[in-house]
Amino acid sequence: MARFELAVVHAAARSGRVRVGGARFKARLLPYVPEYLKMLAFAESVLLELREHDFMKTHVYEGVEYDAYGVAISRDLQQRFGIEGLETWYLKLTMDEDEDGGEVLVASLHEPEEALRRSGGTLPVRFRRTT
Amino acid sequence: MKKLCGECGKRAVEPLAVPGRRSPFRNFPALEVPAALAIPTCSNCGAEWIDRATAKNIDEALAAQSAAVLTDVARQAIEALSSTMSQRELEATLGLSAAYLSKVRHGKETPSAPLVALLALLAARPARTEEIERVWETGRLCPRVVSTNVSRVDLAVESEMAVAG
Repeated sequence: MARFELAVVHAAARSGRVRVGGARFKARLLPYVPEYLKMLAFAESVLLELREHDFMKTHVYEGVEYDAYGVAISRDLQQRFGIEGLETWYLKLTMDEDEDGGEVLVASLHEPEEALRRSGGTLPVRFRRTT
Repeated sequence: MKKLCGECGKRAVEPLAVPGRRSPFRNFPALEVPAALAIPTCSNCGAEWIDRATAKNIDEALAAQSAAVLTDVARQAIEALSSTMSQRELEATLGLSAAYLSKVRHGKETPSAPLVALLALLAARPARTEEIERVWETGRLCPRVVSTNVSRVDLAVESEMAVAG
């Protein structure tokens, strides 16, 4: 079971309370959505498409809990961002919680390195441009 | 109050403006982020965290920077091609409106990345403008060169040898 409720994650994404960052987003995410506002909008859209069955596991690092997901994004989302064929994504998030619901921190959002073992079943990697 | 870093877990993220940061942007693999632009950055691990306001600021700064690079490369290419054909001839060949390249040279228009890419390729091999003219005449592609294995340096050496011989 995920540490952070998807309803809370979705609410944050809907109201734009999302930060994207970490050590490698410039190398692993920006090349696919190569403007910053687009990158943020893409991350918010992927968060909104997350479902319970996409959950993989919760990691704890330095006392911070992270929920990892493997998601096959919709064709509509691929088309909106011009990334047709780049369907499966690995996403890791945590939350900076406060009384207003807090912000979602997207610590990883990139091409999966291997098939994604999720609570709803294994998702093979489908990440090749078709246009 | 400092914000949480999703990379190292420390509450150490605050706006930081420093020189030497680079970022991918559109077709550019690494543009320089202006030193004065503050980006929320973790003082513990150095990870950057992008929120909406920061994203907007970075996009605007990098758009200006990319426009400057595109204009500069276009100017160089137009200059290089000027010994081969007039600016008006070049505009006609590329289907551009009259005086468009003049506006680019004087910074009144920002050329698109595809146009600059084309100008850069033509500047490297000006003879290819004739191939474009042939395409417009015939409505067909020029024969495709599969492999030449002959560089410009090789050609130059060959022609020197021919003269010497």
